[in-house]
Amino acid sequence: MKGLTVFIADLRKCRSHEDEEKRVNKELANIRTKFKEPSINGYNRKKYVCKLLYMSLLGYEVNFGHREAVELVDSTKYSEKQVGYLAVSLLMEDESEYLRAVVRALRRDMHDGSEWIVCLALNAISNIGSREMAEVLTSDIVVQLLSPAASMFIKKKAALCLLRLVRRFPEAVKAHQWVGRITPYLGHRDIGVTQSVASLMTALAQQYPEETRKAASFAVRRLKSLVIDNEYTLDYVYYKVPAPWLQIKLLRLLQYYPAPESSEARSTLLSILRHIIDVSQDVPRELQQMNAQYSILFEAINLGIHLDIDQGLMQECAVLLGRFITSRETNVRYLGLETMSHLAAYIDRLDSIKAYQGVIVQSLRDRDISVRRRALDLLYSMCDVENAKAIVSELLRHMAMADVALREEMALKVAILTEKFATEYGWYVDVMMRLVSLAGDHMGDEVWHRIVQVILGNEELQVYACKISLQTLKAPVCHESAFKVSAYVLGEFGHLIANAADSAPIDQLKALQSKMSSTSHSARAVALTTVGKFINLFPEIKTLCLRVLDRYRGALDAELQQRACEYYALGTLEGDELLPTVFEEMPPFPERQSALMSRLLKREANTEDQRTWVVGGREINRERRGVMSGAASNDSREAVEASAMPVPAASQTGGPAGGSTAAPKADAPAASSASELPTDPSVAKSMRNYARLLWENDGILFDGEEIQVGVMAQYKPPGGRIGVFLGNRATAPLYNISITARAADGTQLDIQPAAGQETEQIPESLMPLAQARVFFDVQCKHVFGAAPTLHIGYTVAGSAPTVSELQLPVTVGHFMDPVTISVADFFARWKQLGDSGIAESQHVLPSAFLTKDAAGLEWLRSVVGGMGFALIQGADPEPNNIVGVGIATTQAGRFGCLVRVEPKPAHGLTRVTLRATNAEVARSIGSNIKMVFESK
Amino acid sequence: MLSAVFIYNQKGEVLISRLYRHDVKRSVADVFRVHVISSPASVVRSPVTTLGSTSFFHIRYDNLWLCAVAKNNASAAMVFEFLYRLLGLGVSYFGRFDEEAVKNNFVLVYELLDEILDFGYPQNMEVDTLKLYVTTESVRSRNVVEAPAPQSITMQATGATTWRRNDIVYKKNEAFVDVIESVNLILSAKGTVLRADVQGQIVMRSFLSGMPECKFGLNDKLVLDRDPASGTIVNRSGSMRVSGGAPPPSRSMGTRAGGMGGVGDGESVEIADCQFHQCVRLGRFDTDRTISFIPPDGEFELMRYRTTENVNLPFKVLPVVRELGRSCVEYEVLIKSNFSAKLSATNMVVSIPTPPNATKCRIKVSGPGKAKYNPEENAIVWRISRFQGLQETSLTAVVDLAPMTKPTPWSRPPISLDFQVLMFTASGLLVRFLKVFERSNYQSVKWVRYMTKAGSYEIRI
Repeated sequence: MKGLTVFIADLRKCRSHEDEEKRVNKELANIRTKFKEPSINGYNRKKYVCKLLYMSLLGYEVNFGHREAVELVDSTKYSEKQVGYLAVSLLMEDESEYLRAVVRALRRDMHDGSEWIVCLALNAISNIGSREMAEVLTSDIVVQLLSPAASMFIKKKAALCLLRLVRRFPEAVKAHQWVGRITPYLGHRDIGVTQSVASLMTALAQQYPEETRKAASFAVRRLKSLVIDNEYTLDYVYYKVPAPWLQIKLLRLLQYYPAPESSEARSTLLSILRHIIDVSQDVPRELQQMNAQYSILFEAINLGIHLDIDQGLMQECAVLLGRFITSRETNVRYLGLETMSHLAAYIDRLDSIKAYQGVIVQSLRDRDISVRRRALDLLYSMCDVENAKAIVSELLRHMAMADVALREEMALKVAILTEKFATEYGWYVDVMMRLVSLAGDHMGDEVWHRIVQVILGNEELQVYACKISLQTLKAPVCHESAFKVSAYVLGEFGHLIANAADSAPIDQLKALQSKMSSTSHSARAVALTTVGKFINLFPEIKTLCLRVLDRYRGALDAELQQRACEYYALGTLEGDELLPTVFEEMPPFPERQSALMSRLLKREANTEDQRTWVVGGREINRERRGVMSGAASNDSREAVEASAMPVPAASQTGGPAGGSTAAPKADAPAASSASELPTDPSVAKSMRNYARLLWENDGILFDGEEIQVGVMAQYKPPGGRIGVFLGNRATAPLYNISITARAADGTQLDIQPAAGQETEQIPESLMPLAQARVFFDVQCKHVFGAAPTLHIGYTVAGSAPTVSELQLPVTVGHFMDPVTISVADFFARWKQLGDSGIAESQHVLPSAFLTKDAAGLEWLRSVVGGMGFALIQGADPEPNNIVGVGIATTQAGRFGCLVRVEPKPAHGLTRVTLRATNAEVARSIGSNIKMVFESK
Repeated sequence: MLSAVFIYNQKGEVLISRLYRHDVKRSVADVFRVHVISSPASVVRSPVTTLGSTSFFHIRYDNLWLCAVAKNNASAAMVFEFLYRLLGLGVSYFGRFDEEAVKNNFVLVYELLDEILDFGYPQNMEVDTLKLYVTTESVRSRNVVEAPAPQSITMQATGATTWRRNDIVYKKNEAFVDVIESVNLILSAKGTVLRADVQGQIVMRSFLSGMPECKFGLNDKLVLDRDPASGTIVNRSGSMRVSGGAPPPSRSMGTRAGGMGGVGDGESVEIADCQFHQCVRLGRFDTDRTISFIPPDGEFELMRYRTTENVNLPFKVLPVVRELGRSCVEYEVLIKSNFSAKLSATNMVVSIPTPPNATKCRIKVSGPGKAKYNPEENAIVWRISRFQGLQETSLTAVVDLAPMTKPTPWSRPPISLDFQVLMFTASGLLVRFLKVFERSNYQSVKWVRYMTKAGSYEIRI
């Protein structure tokens, strides 16, 4: 293409930017006229598209030529197709309308006979990676990956192409449909293919831990053949290490799964790890070999820590790591420290790590800042009650010299460690005061707030804290945060030390005043409050305090002025009730998660691959694991609920023999009627929610991992309005939300979306923590037995659509109004209804809660009242018994209903008798009460 | 005051480095290069860059960077005045002031820099004076040529008129006055004037003997309003000539230049922002607005001015631009000249912008001039070498557009004009008289020439 080279040479020759722009404009005009000619041939088209590409790469806007690029893609010549795909991937944006044509061409090329063309197509998909491609072409790519005819070359490209799409549009590729089929490729004989698939599986394993579960066994097998059986070709040996990248990827992949259950797999895995560790005992000469070997070794150690199956291995790892952290290589030191903090996060006994404490402290002074950072992480992770004092004092000593970038994190960590492992009060106060003085500039307000909270919460601390505070204020230099803490503490507890020498109220006030002038506005505001509190605490120095306040009444800062004026007014007020009330001692702060912790965790960056652990002690990692496995099991339950494949899911657990019997059981949660209680704990929980809503109008109906459903109801028998609230509890947005309700029998109950609300009220997507709501109007036409069902469908990013079926707490009992009648009337009706005999429902219910105290009876009363009965006082001779009257209103008629509840605390039983003018009403309300009892 | 002066070439290599004070090191030259010259072109360079406590003032000329360095709070206006004077010195010494000239004469440049700045304070920067003792000739020849006595140099450099020697003699005493105006205009698409102003410059070349005292009169509104009788002075002075093109149609100023198309229809002009050469006695100007001065020898810029009222626009442009769908744009541009038929505009260039996706232009011009599509500038360029007054010409064009992938509306940049009109002043300014008084009372001949150029003359479409 001579024209292209000439053009590029021309542009290179241009001396100034203006010249270049002129040349580009000229060429653009030329290309525009050329593209208008109908008879342009493929060669010229290719040439001009290349020129456009070059201009676009130089930063000029190219607003035409996309059509020509697409035409090139359709060409049969390889070189033209190549340029076409290149242009398409560089010039097109994701929403371009031409992409549709490109997708068509891609689909055709994907099934082309020539593998070169297939490769071009795969490359183009990876480069463009639009949503539409992910939706339309994923299946074709999977076919290429699985096809026995495709060459290794194509398989590799296909796997990597899928990886790109999975990363970009996890929800569009529907990975759960094909992930099972590609898992066996981890055992493919070609190492290149395995390596590509391993990358893909690592990405998928983070999203679909359940579906990819089998990958673990394949990975183990593959590792075994690679490490122990030495099955590899010479092409893949890198400086005497067989396929290091594949080994690392497989070891990493395995960290996303729990340890294998079968002892055979465990021992295989152990022998692999041991082999890797053994091999690394001899230090290689060559740098590259060392790098490869060490990376494998570190990954192996990480896996070993993650599996946590062999104590001996762990101790050995600790020894190895101890050697690494003293290594001369900076990278090895870094990795050693990082891996050791991983180890510290899981290992039960920290002794093996504590042996290296001196070395680690030394690393805080390393030349390399990232090594220093890791050393800090490790010290933080390995801290426990025994070594807390040593570590904290080391960190404090180091704080003065530490980099500014590191200081904030260091200060936070010191604060957390001190609080967590403090055994003596004095030590805590001393350390914290030193900390705020040393690093006050580098940390947020959380630290000093926390100190105050802790001091307020621990009475034993207060006297000592007061002494220290006064000392701090009297010291020649006092950091601002330290000043704030001291001022606050003295204001609260100054009276505790008022009788000690040199701590008289006047001394305290003077110390405060001496530092006040040199601090910022926010600190002065705290000090003013303290002065206000002094007026209350020490009436003897009231005039002095008022003088201080008076000086600030004219302060320019609005906050200071307001405080001074208000406190001054309080101090000079006649009568002495208000002042003590306002300045009453602060109550201890309620226990909550330390703000420090949340701040520290927020600092964790979001990287490409999820880490399987976080920096910190064992507790936090344990918690994390618990949450993760909980989420996994919950996912699987939902997958079963989605009833996409209930039978295989059941047969997996129950075995082939139990398959037929297990199937209905898997369906049970969806179809379970109100009377039978499934044993699944989460279903039991939702049953409890349901039962609660039988006697309360508002509340939570369903509380899952991803969604939370709340109900708010208002009844005006025979009608009512029900509001359904859908909250997103997942961390990703929900899509395709649908909320519908259906009555079991439309002739008895009418339920439909409330009039006057637009359909758009359900948003297309629901952000995490956001809420959507829908209202339904219900009309009770006749007495009905079964509650209506609520269907909530949604899609979470990266998984199949989920449909949850819930029972809406709408029963005939809800359409009941309380009626007050006299005692005599009640018994007359009771007898009358009892004689007919048909419309009676009686249950004897176990009620253990009654034995405890009177609260049980109270609860019982509120349940009966909440169900719409008017309670009639003193009707029954037995004072504990409850009787009530209500009328259920339907469009077909009104039905009176009487209830009598006879609790027998001595036996832990309650008899509930219902009599109504309609048998169905009595039965329905009876079963409602029964359910409420059962779920109590 | 100034601590150093540097001259760089385009690449940022230091050509001249002269330090005047000890508060900066020679290496500050690198600081400026790194922070200003080498910074990417996309960054807008401020003429004043302050790095730490050091300020760098720079101007660019041709392929040179002139940079002055000050440590203290120097007056920026003064520093730039100094830099431009330095530039003027260079031009007058070397003809062209560029890298080549600096490299060939760097001894002379250092000599000049020694002379014009002392301990960072600017000294005498008059070309004429400097040329007395800072000469381009070699050392040997200067010894042979009778050098002016040091005493006379001192007299000259410290006397009342530092800009003129007192021993100048001409056989024929002549003075040429050029009034050069550039007119700036922005016209809206509907034809209303959004901005119109004239920036003028009066350049004088004097070849007068002795120490002549000159008086100069314009049709300044303030003067004329105050003294309506002053018009008669013109008749008395009577010896002013007007030079149009070549050959100059010698015409007395007394006729009030009646033949000069656009100039001087008796109106007075409101002049704003006058700025004079240092030879003009400002005290006199402030009291009675008379411009009196002893001119330097040779060419100098007597004054600059600006007017914003009553601007005579030399051309009217009536553009009609229609975008027909997305495939084509139609142009109809009509230009009328708005000055006397006896005058003519030369070197006229009309640049009519086209959309960035234009492919083919079919252009028809009825009237003088030729037009063609110039894709490099995305414009139709219409050149008219000579355009008489009170004439009109028009252009129609149809521009085909290529389809765009992402249709973006055309920004419709304005049409711009470039031209020169002799013997026409857009402001209406007129030289009423120039009187020369000398002790020997010789007769002098005076010539006046007017020219109007286009500044940024833009019509929105």
